Amino acid sequence: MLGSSCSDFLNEPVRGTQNLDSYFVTEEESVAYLTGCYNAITFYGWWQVYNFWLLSEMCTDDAWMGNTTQAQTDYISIAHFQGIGQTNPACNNFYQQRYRGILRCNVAIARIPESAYNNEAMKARLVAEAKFLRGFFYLELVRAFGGVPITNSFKMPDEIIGVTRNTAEEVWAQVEQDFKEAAEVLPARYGAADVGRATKYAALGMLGKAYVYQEKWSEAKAVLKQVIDSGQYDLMENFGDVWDVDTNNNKESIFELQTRFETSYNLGNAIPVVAGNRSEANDGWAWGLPSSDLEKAFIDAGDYERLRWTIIKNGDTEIAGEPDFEALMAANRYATDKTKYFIDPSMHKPARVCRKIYIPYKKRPARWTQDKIPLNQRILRLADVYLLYAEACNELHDDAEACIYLNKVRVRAKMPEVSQTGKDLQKTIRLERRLELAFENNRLWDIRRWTDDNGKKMMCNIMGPNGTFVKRNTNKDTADPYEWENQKELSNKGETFQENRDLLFPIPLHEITMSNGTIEQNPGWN
Amino acid sequence: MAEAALVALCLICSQSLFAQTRVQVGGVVSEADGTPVVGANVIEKGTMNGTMTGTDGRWMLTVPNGATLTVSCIGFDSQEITVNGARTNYQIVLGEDTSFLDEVVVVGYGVVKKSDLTSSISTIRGEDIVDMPSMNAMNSLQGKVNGVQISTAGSPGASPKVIIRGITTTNGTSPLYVVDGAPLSGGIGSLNDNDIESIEVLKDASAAAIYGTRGSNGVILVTTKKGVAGKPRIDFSTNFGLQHIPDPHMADAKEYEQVYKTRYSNDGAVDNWNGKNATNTNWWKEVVKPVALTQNYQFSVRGGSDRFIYNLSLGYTKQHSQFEKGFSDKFNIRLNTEYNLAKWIKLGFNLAPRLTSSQSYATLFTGSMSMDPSTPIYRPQEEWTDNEYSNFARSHNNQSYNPVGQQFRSDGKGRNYGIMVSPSITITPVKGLTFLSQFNVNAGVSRSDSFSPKFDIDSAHEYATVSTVSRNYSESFNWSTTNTLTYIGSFAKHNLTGMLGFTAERFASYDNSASREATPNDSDPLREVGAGTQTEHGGGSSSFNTLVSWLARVMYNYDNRYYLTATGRVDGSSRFPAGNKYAFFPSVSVAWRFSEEAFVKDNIDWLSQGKLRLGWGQVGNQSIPSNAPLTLLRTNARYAFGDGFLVGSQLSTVGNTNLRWETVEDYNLGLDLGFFRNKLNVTADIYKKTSHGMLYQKDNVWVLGYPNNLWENVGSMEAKGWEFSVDYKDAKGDWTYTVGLNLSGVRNRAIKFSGQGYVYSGRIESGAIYGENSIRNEDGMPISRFYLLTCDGIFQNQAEVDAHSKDGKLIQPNAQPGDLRIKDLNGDGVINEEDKSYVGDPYPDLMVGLNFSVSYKNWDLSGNFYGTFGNDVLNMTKNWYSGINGSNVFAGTLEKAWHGQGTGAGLPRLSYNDKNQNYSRLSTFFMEDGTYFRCKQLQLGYTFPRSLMKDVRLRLSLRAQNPFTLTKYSGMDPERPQYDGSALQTGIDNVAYPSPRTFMFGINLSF
Repeated sequence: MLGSSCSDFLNEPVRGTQNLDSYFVTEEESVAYLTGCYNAITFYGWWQVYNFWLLSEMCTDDAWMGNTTQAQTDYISIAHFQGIGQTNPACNNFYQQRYRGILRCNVAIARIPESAYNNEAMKARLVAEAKFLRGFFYLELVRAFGGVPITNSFKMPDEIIGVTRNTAEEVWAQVEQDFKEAAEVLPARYGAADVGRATKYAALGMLGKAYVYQEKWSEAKAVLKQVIDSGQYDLMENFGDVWDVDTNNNKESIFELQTRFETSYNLGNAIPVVAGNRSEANDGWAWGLPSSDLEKAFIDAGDYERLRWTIIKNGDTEIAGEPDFEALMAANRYATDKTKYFIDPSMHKPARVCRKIYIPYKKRPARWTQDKIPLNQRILRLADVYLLYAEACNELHDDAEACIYLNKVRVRAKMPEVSQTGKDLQKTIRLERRLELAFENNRLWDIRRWTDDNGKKMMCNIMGPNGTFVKRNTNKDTADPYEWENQKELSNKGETFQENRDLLFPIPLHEITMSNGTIEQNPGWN
Repeated sequence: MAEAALVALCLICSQSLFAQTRVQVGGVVSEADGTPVVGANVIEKGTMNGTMTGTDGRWMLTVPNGATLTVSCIGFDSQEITVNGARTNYQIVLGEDTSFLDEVVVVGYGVVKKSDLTSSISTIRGEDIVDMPSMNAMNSLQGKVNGVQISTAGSPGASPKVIIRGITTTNGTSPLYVVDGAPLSGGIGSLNDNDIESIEVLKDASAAAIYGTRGSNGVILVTTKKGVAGKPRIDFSTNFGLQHIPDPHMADAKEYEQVYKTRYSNDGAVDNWNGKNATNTNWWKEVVKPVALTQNYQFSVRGGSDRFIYNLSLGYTKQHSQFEKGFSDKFNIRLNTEYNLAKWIKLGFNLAPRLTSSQSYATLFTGSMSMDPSTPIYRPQEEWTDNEYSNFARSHNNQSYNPVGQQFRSDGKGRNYGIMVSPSITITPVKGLTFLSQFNVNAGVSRSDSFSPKFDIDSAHEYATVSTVSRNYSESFNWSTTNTLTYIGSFAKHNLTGMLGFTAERFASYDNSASREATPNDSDPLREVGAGTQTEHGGGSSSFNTLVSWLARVMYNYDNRYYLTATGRVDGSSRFPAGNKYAFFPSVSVAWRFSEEAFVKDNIDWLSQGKLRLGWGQVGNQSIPSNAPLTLLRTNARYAFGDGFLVGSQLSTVGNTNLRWETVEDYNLGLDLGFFRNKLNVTADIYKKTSHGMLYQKDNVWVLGYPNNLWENVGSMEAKGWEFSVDYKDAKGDWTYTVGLNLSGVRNRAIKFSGQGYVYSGRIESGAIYGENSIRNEDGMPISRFYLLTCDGIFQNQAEVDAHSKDGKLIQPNAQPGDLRIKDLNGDGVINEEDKSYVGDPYPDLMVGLNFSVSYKNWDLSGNFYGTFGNDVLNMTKNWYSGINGSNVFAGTLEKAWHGQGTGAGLPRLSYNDKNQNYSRLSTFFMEDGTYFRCKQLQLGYTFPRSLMKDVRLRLSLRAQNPFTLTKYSGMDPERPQYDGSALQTGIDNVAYPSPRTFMFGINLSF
């Protein structure tokens, strides 16, 4: 038993899994690996990414945390600007999971080109898809946290001792590069079996958004125009059809998180359940509920079409796009008056839920759990691109061009066309983004980047002790009765907002500790 | 006495030698009571001429006339007789050796006389184990083996937690178990207590180093009973007991309602009390049975001749849970045989099949304590549906699940078949040289089934929309081979034992699992995976580990005064990456038996034994998963594309290719003293254990993107401790008595953990605490202490609230009279994380075991006590059952809660929104002194006199286990919090299964 027989005896491979060293041989392996990269968009669990997307709404004037019957620890430190969010679970999970996704993509980008099989076109496409995803992951990080460390390879702990944050500019440059390189290779569209993969115009659209975030207006205008002119997309005729389980991957869609109902696997969108009504026939969790402030914005704008497709309110006697209201209410054990939709105001701060993620009764899947709902998350759609383009044109003083695309969105929403210029137009475009794209994970990033006439970021005028949102909610005369009555989530949200702190989320304390302080915190957080 | 080991040693030591034809003499060697002494050596003094007594104690030898014969056997005083030619028949009565130190002790890969030991080893004998019946023999070591912290749980078949001499690693504290020379993974719960001859605990590294890679948490050697030559002896015994868990006394419906409403009225709010169909249900009584059964039956027969000895035993043990459902049982058979093929060759064959089964149950201590007592068990009959699982009432006023309904739904069972087989061969080619080769197989198959029905008690909160059925199968097949060559020799005053060995082990396990949902209905015949209609899941894997080792040991002593033992072991393990597979573990120990020095022997007659021991050694820890060095992918990341989905692959583990063993280095200094012919024995040890390159699953910056924490050799921990034990035994007339006291203490310190900041653990997510850590570790500090806010009493009036301020600002702005005052330790005027400090230690300062026995004529009485001193417990029951979250409360809470200046008994005011966070943040308010001293067993026995029963021995006994506990701790069981958790988190009381009080009746019959 000495010598080589002994080393054979001590060599027991781990079974049932594949070793990275011997992976990346066949085309199938590369394709499967990329599927794993796409999986990292949300991991199809409620807590990794969806929860953070909802948290971003909760930090705006569009939403409350909402749930007033359970512990609010996942959100409150950030959503109510308490200044102690370094260990906020939703924030920390998101940060960690985005880097897990980035590592998956890094391995794909490094290893797929070295694979032995002979299909260079496929290799190039898969690498481009991985770059698109990595670019998206970095974009989501930089707009939330500012500059973060860029890691573009698979490293061991001793290789990153002393790691520091890159600047926001450097991260944006990485985002731009990834989207550009992806766009050069990716096809404009895929065959039916591959719908959902990143396309050339998804990459260009995201690149345009990245330019807008950086106020690189002319680059944004050019690249967004390319998307508009590609001929691949068109607005849906009805605003109400944009968000529906039956209109996943519709003609307006540029990039969507793909979902599917599978009994055995979790491939769903968690938001319809996590942000759903707790006093429903099918229970929701009521985290992230639309505010009366958002409702008022629709009403003030005379925008009733999008209002009814965006907000459902306690006591409503019908729900847009719900033909089975009676059956829905018959199945509800909580409601005493079955003629009215019931959102228990004692359990829901605003007594409102979001219509975009509401699933009509008969369209609900056989199992109502957070990991099963087949509603694709619209990450980038043409209306968003139109409004980004309009914004860029307005900033470049091409107001006529801006109005063309702004009006396309308005007309679809049954709103009158406008013909404006300069700051007026800018205001209209900004409002339009709020109304069109509510609850689509845009509002927080928009109000953080827009500068108001007083030179402050828009968010600083909404939040803070004198913020419009705060003022309205803390005055009984202007506050919404539901919101005023239910103080289990306090109405003074935003009072403690600090403009030198709350325009960025805190880097997870974990990173500061684990790097021995070489990763530094954003200002104001301690 | 360790008969089996004795016989073995006698066999090995005995020699058949040349005989000169002079005088043939013979006779019988017996004990004082006439029992033949088997295997005694009768040797002509000064020669190599000798023989050994047979099973009847007879011997025959031819010697020169006038020769002196030395008659000796281990366990007896030696005798010398002079052969007188006229007499050929000698009746020799050997007196029992009263020197306690001269037992034989099993050490790794051999045995030594206790007096020759140089390291720290404790022995407990089979009688002491069966004397305290339980489902796991380790339970009976509690308080009897010094330096070993054993914590027990009350659930059926629970294995106790065993910590030998403190903690030097975060990777588990469980020692290595070796049964008859074969390593056994997973503890000895499957063994039959009655089969155990002795258990040896190798406590220091100089003893454990011979087990190399797995010795760092100590080693427990179990020796099973062998046959004894002679006519068959039959033993039968049974113990039958009733277990009881004391009622925690929760509030009745009336007090609960008052507490509930007061919480709101105190806050000026309107309560939402639901009084519809209110009743008064005592949930504890409905759910927890007043008594549960435990039973145990043993049968054994042993005997043999000088050629063949055997021991056959059968045992059955069953322990019920304290609930309507749930038990754990085991049925064991063991056949141990030895066959002397020739004088120089012996075969051994042990066979031990086992069958264990269990029924699962819902553990509902907390469930019945928190449930709303105003809720009836069932909903009104007019609401009943066909689904009998749905007819239970939903808790009216809180979120607790109906515990009766929970137990009713519980349906799980498991069964495990196993067998241990070990053939062996012992060859003694020349005098003093023994070759032993042993092969061991331990294999088993186990199945577990579970079913949970569809039900709807409350479709929002207490329901299952589909039934789930699952089955898991697993098989294990572990083999090992041990081959040793031992030489024992003496030259003048030099005594030498040398051993060389080679061992190889392979552990294989195979498992698969299947589950489905939605059986057509909940009826019993449909509770099969195949009947499920959706969500088909299947899993399965195999895993293998191997270990090869070379070992060597030298034991030398000069004149039984100066001792030296040195061992070395080279281990190779499949768990470590190429290049790091092998490691070497040495040890050296020395002893000086100063009582054998002439100046002591001749001058101090009250000192019968005196030995000083010093040992050093290195042992290892290899308890990492097999995949720790590997970077692996799993194909289980799905994504929806087109009209379907693809199954993708993802990094599942990032591995560390530089992993090495964790090494523990250990120094031990010990002193053994015996006084007055060893009536009084004292043993004292001090030790220091330090781990190096501790294997730790280290957290890293998330920027790396790893899916797991990487296993790394970081960190170092240290355990420093002491042990002191004193035993006294004596007999006077019809009285005999013994008393033993064990005292020990150990301090565990983290020299270096992760090297990066604090390591938090003890996360609490129950009661009103939503995810707060209670324990913090940092480099250079004692491990795992409670790190909490300091509660400084209750504000008695507004003036006190106002006085608790800093620069005119209230430190606790939300506080009212009746709320907890929290110390602002850093003086910054706010209460936050920065005001936490180390406030308690879950590890005891002192562990005490006290054992006594007294017998008078046919009566015997014994008692065993165990306690820990100076340990703290985080009592989460105080959080759960004090009115927060609407849970039911301990009876008397209304009065105990503050309700005006100077009122209450330590609880803050009742409040529903708890603005001061009395209950929603952790403070010393929840921490209590966990010191306890518990009577583990009291036993009274009566043995019928031989005059009455002739050849039959009959003993009746009454036992009380855990009859009483001395403690100030207010929770249900001060012992259980130590059982739960790991090195990094222990001492938290979550009302897990407490130890029951058990009253047992036993019968022992032998003939």
